[in-house]
Parts: sequence; C-alpha cells; structure tokens
Amino acid sequence: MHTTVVKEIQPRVYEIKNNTGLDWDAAAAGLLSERLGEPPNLRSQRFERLHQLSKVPTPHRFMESWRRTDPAIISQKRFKLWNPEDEILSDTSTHDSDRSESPPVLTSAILSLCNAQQQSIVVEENAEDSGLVLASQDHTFRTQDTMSEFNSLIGRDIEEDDTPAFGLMNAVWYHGGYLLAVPKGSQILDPIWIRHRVNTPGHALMVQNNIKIGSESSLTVVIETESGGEIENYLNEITNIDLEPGAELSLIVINTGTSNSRYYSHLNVGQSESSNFEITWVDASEGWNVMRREVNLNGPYAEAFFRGMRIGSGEGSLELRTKQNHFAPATSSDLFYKSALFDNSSSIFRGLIRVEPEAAGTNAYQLNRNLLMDEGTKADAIPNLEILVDDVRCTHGVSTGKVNKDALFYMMSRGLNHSQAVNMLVSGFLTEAVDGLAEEDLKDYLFAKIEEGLSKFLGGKSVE
Amino acid sequence: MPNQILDLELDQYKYGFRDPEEYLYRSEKGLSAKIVEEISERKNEPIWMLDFRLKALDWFNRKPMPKWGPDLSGVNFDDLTYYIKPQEHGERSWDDVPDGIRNTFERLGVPEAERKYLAGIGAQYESEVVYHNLKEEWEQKGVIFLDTDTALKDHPDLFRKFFSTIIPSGDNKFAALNSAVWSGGSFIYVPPGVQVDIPLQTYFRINAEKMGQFERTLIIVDEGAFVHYVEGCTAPTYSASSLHSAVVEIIALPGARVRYTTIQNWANNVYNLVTKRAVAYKDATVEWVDCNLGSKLTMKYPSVYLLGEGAHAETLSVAYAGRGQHTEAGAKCIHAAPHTTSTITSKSISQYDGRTSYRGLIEILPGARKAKSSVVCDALILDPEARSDTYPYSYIDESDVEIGHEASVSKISDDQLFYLMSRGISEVEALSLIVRGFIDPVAKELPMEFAVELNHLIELQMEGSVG
Amino acid sequence: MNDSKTSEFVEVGTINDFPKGNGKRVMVDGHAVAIFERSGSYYAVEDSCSHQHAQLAHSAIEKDGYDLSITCPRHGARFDLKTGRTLSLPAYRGIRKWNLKIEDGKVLVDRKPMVDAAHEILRLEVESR
Repeated sequence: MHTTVVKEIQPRVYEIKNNTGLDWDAAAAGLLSERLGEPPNLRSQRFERLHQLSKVPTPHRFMESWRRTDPAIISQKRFKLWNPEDEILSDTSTHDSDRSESPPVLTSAILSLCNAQQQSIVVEENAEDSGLVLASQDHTFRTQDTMSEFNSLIGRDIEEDDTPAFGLMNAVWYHGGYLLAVPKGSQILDPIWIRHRVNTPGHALMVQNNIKIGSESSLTVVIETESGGEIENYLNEITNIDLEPGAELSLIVINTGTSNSRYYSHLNVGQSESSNFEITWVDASEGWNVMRREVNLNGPYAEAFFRGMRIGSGEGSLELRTKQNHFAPATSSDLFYKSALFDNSSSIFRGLIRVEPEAAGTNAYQLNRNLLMDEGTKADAIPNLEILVDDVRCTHGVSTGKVNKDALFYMMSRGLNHSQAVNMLVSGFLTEAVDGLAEEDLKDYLFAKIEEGLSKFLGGKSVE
Repeated sequence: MPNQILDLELDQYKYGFRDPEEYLYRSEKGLSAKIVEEISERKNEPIWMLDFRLKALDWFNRKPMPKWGPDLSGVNFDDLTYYIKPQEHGERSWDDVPDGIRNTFERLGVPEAERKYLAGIGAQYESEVVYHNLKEEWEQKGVIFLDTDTALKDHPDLFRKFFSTIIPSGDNKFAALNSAVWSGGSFIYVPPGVQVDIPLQTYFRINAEKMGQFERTLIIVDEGAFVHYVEGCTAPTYSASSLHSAVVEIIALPGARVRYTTIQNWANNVYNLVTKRAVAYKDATVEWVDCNLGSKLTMKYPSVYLLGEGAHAETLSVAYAGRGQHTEAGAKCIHAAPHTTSTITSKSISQYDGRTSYRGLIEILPGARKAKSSVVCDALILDPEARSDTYPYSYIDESDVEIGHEASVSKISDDQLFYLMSRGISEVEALSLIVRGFIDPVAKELPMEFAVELNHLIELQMEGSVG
Repeated sequence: MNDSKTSEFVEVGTINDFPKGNGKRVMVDGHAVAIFERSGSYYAVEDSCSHQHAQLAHSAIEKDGYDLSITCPRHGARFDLKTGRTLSLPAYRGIRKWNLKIEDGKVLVDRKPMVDAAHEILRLEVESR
C-alpha cells in the first residue's frame, strides 16, 4: 500500500510547499471552479455531475471489462486531489532537458503546461490573424471573449457505457486544461505544439481539454505529455474534439511516463459531414495506462484514421480501448496499432467497430499486431464488431507472437549480427505503424522518438 | 421468378407435421423436486443419480440468468413439460418400433440413411431412445454406443467415473437445468486403438407442444482411438416457446481423435441453449463441426480444454439467422499445456432481420509455451435489417506464442452477382452459389447427406430473398 | 516432500472452533486456508478455487465410499478433500493443501503447503475393467 506522504524526494529537484491535498468533495469542486474563475453555470454543472457520480458504481476488477487491468490502482482511496496552491519548485538545470528544447519544426503556436497550469505561451502572428484561439483554462476566463466559445464544451457529459465513473470524476474536479479553437475557413499551416508536464506526487490531477475545428479549416496539433516522477501520481485527462463539416485535424500524441505514472485518458471525437480526423501516437510510458479513444462519425463522408505504436517496458501496462462508431452513410475508419513489449509489460487492446443501420456504405478496418520480446510480457486482444447494416466492408485482425525467426535468420545471413538484426526488425515493425503520417518532418521526429525508446533495450541486448 | 415466396416458415411445413400425441407418460408442467424425483423413479435410477439431480435442481434455482448476450426473457420455465416417455423399452429392430413413431422417421428419411452404411442409429423420440441398432462388429471390439439411460445401468462404473467431470451442474444455469432433468442422449466409449470408420448418428425431435429437450451425451475415447459422432435434428413449428438445453461432454484421452458434427434446424420458436465441452489430453484432437440453421435463439459455444502437450482443437461452424432469429455461436479454446494448437473457422449469414453473433475465447494460460492459435470469422449480411456481431476475446499469458485472429463482415458483392448472372445463371442460383462458396470450408467437412441437406436449405432461403 | 524434522506447525484454534461436518477459513502465513471436519478427521486445503478464486470454506462435504470431496459454490468444480486434486472442470488444476495434526484438542497446521495437487492437471483415466 502506498502512503500519500511525500518523503525522500531529492530536495535538489523538487520541493513541495503546503502538502494539503483536497478531498473528493463538493468543497473541492467549488474551490477549483473559483480558482479558474468559472462562470456560475459551469460551477453548478460540476455539482450536477457530482450528484450523477454518487449514483454510478465504482469500477472494480470483477467487472468483465476491467478483468485485465485493476482500476483500484486509481481509486479515490489512494489519491487525494492535487491542490493548485501547492507549488513544485523544480530545478530546471539538468533534469528536463526536453522541456527547454524547441520543437523540431516551425510552429504556429507553442503552449507549455505544468500540472494544468500555463507556464508559457507563444502564438505566431499569422495564426492569431487566422483567428486561432489557444489558451490554458486557468487563463481563459480572464478574457471574456473566449469564454462563449468553449462554454458548451466544458464539462460535457460523455456517454460511457460501462464505467461512467471516471468521466464524471473528471467533470466534477477538473483542474484545468487547454482550449484550442479554429474558426471556419482557416488553414493553419504550421502545427500547434502543446507540452504538458505532469507531476503531482501522491495526488490526482484532473485535466479537461477541448478542441474545436471550424468548417473547412485544417490544423495539425502535436501533444507531448510527460507524466510521473519519483512518486506515484494519477492523471485523469479527458479531451473533447469537435470537427465541423469539412474540418481536418491531424493529432500527433507522444506519451512518456515513469513507472510511477498512473494515467487514465479519454479522447472523444465528434465528426460532422466530410470531416477528416487522424491521430498518430507514440506511447512509451512505463507506468499504468488506460487510454480510451473514440470517434463518432456523425455525418456522411467523415473519415477517421488511428495509427499508433507502443513500446512496453518495466511493469508498464496499457489498456487501449477504441471505438469506431459509424452513424452516417459512406463513412470510413481505419485503425492500425502495433506494440513491442519488453520486460514484464503488457498490452490489452479492446477495439469496437460499430456500424448503425443508418451507416450504409461504411468501410471500417482494424489491425493490431503485438511483438512479445521478453518472457514476462502479455498481450490481450478483444476486437469487437457490431454491424447493423448490410452494405459495409469491415475487417479486423490481430496477431501476437515473437520476432519472426525466418526474418531474423535472413538478416543475419546478410551480415548483421543478432542484435542488429533484431533492432532492425523491431524498429521496422514499429515505424510502419506511423508511416501513414503525411508531414515528413513530424514523421522523422516520431521515428527518432521510437529509436530512442528502443535503444534502451536493443542497444547491445541479445533477445532470443 | 417464382410466384410464391418460400420463406422459412413455409419451408418448415416440410418438416412441420405432427403425429397425434400417443405417449405413455407425461409429467406435469413446471419444474420442482417432485418432478425430478418422478423422472428418476420412472427411469429406475440408482440413488446417486437422484441425489445428483436434486443437487442440480438446487444449482438451477440459485443461478441467475446470464446477463451478457442475447435476450432470454421469453423463456418461461414454469410453462414447460420436462419429461415425456413414449415407450417402455429401447428396441433393436426397426420393425419393432411403433407405427406412429416409425412414420415420423420414414418421413425424416431415416431408413434411407440406414441403407447408406450408417453403423448405429440411436433414434430419440421425445425424451427416450426408441430404437437402437448397434452393429455386431463394433460390439466385438468393445465399442459401446447406447442411450445414456441404458449406459447408466449397464456400465455404472465407467459412467460414474466420467459423468459431470467436464461440465459440473454448477457451470451455468442451463447446464444445471439439464443436470436435473436430463433424459436420453448418447453414451459412447471407444477402447484403445479402435478406429470407428463410419459415423455414429442419432436423430431426435420435439413433438409435443411446450416440450423441452434435455439430452445428455457423454463420449469417452480411449488412447489412440477414433470416432465421429453426428447429431442432426429437426423440429416442427409451434406457437409457444420450446426449450432445448443439451449438455455434451467429451473426453479425448492421449492420442485419441474425436469429431462431433451437429446440424441443427430447430423451428423458429425453439430456444436452443447448449453447453458443449471437451478435454484433449496429450497429442489428442477434438473437432467440433457445428451447423446452426434454425431456432429462435441459439447460444452455443463448443469448447476445448487442451490439457496435454501437443493437443489440438478444431472448430468449424456455420450459422444462419433468418426472420426473427438470433444465432449466437462461437468457440472457446483454453490452452493449458505447451505445444498445443487451435483453429477456429466461423462462417455466418444473416438474412431479413436475422442476427448472427460470434462470441469466442482463446485463453493461453501461463506455461502453455509454443501455443498456436488461429481464428477466422467471416460474416455475410444479406439484407439491410440484418445484423452481425463479432466478439472474440483473447487473453494471452505466455510470451512464446503465435496467435492470429481475422474477421470480416460484408454483403454479397454486386460484381460477383453480375458476373454469374451474365453467364446465364438465375439470380437465385447465383446467390446460392455464392453463399455455398462462402460456407464451403465448413460444409466440405460434413457427411454427404448433411451437405446435401444444407445446400438444399440454402437454396430455399435464397429463393425467399428474391422476387 | 515435507520433512517432519523441518516442518513447523502453527496453532489455528481448538477443535471447538471448527464446526463439525463443515469448513471454516483461517489464515496461515498470509494464506487463506479452509479447515474442514468430517467424522472426527480434519483436512486443510486452500480457501481459493483454482478457477476464479472463489472461497471454498462454506462448501458442503460429499462422501463417496472412502473419498471425500468439496464443491466450489461458484461453478461447481470439485476437489478431493484429502489431496487437493481437482476432480472436475472448470478447475483444470488442483489446489494446495496443508498437513495438520490435532494435539491436546488444538488444531495445528504445517506452515509449509503441499503444492503437488495445485500443479497437477485434471486426471481422467479408464482403469482396466
């Protein structure tokens, strides 16, 4: 059992002032609302959600959907809410060299957050002229004009069939998050870069982000999340994305975390007619992760692409739950997820493709491939199909196994030694997952991240 | 284009005849300890079996209805008759069977089948086996093929040693029900090394209104032996629901091979809820070949536990769901030993407003190194109101494995149809050809008479979808 | 492989603490152990079904000739009470057992469990007839 007392942290790096956590109660909700300067309607919405929360069951591992990932790890008994008044003084000299590095490409805007609080923000002039709105919630309500934009999105009720509890908790006690909006008819050429560093030792942080892309607009967003530190912390993050007709969004998500990170994230995308959504992700967290990624294709000709990869290490676990929901005709979706697991890590993939009766002419695909590199690794796959109309083309496939011996032998016979051959095969395997990304520079950046993640294991290691 | 549209209900008239109900004994409706005791007494069972039945009744009362999966609210346990016995003793000669019952089987085509080398026929009528014909040849080799009631009396030790070891009464509500009121079914034992070349078959049907069928089958195949058991059944159409809740247990000892084929075409008011499970020991093979064409609701997940090194499981299934039908079929393979393999092939077709679902499980337990599993599920949806679901679960707790799963859902391609019709084939024929090609990987494993019956049934369905 | 010289027994109660003809859970070194009594003899097995870890302590004891068995209340898996071996699916493996002895009315359980049955897979055989 972990205690929530902060102890034995290197004083050189962190210092916690006022170790007060907040209780999971209405008072805390009120306090957080006040601190963000929210209007009364959002404050009372939090209380409404609290009331709803009291009526739903707490998830536990005897529920079928939580059989392989124990939700008790993020139970309210183990973590108190992060109090924004607690500051973390960090020594910016050597530790987080990544943070001070600038993005490898030209950007339209950069937002840097720490524990849902804005650290710095830069928005290029031409992006601003196009009407781009980018802000952290703790700064938003101070400028009245952005408020209306997001009022309807914040604290929105997400329909969750099996465990509404986590979504509701977030809706009650969110600490903040970023807001991003692009008005209609704006093509923002250079990507937006958002960095979020989360470290709330022994405490829970709830983050709520909202993105809205206007009609016929397009945007690329890169989100780098780094969570965890020396001590266990819990991040619950919900991101709502709304794409208006003809909107295009390419989202690139890079997730790293220490073994102490406990991360529950829910990405919920609503797509209107002819909109296009792409998410490409690289996940190399060593902690406990549950990620839900859902698209609702609500208008005809909408398209969604998921492509991503995971490097599992240590005792890290990732439960990835995706939903490709087709509600309108001539829509298509494609999911391609690969994982390479080392040490004792695990991957659980639950993917649903649901095609409603109105969605004739749908094409939906799903593919998951897992490489089990070490003996203690495990991979589960539960891909589901629910097809309620005849005019569709749907396939899904899963394969799980070790590195292909024949391929290995072939490469070694061409002069590579064992570990070089393994390195090539595994990085080839993983990079294929992100190969579909159009932007070359960003693709190279992701490739580099993958190499970095693998180098720990395949540098000089001989894998059977 | 035919003037009449032949759909499933009309089709059933071919099989939907009923004989005037001549029965010797029928229990009261509903289920109680008294009924269970009556059943056991009429069968003259040993005390341990009565005890077993009563404990199973207790399980049945305690167990909840399953909440995952299809809608079972239409099952009314109080409204069924749980036991009907048409005749005093099982018979050996076809001529000795009562006329009324014999006519039923004449119309079902049993005598023809017998002429075609079928070795032993256990024909079950209502809840009892009426007729048996076991060829001397196999009797000499020590093969036992009897109805379950007789086996309990004639081979008590062998029976008791294996009975309910694979599916205990508490396994699920319907296994508990079967354990309490089971009657009839087949018992097969094949001694070491014996290869039974010709399939052992049985037919049975539900004839009385509101009758449940609870046959219990136990198959034990000793080391290195082989047997193929074929189960095929038809039932007439009724207005109220009928319940069919069978239990099949199979034990394949080291090196044994067992194939169990079912072709099921129950009428549209039947709930068909079956628990079928096998264990395969070292180097043994178990094959489930399953065709589900009828019933209002079928829930059937043939399973194999691979307990010995090198064991292999194969499940081939075809499911069809037409008007008002929901067929949920699947397969479960649990790998508990190293070097085990499993293959699952599932083909399903939904037509009109029918719904087919595949629900399966592959579990690789710790220690089951070098396990290999491959699952292929394909679904064809023929009409806009039809539905298809696929729910495959794989839980892998071993790293040195090879696991693959593929599924696809689609409709009949217009291109394919156009191509065939442009060659002078009618639309009905073209549809039938395409569907037959779709299910071929499974259909080709069926014994010939069944393959013929299956193709004929498909054609009738296709006729209904045209014009 | 339990060497009596190196085995260590702990007291889990007196014979009055354990209901006759039934089972009761005790903890031994952090393990949940179910102690059963039948006709003056005591048995100790793991209080956890090898299938889905349901508690076994409240199972009824069944007698068949010389054999005693318990049935898991969740799905009906059966275990031999004397050895811990599994007698039916869905428990494809057995459960651990502990040796015990009665001294001066006290029930003593050997700290070290016997794990052979827990590793053994369901054994079904046709003996010579």
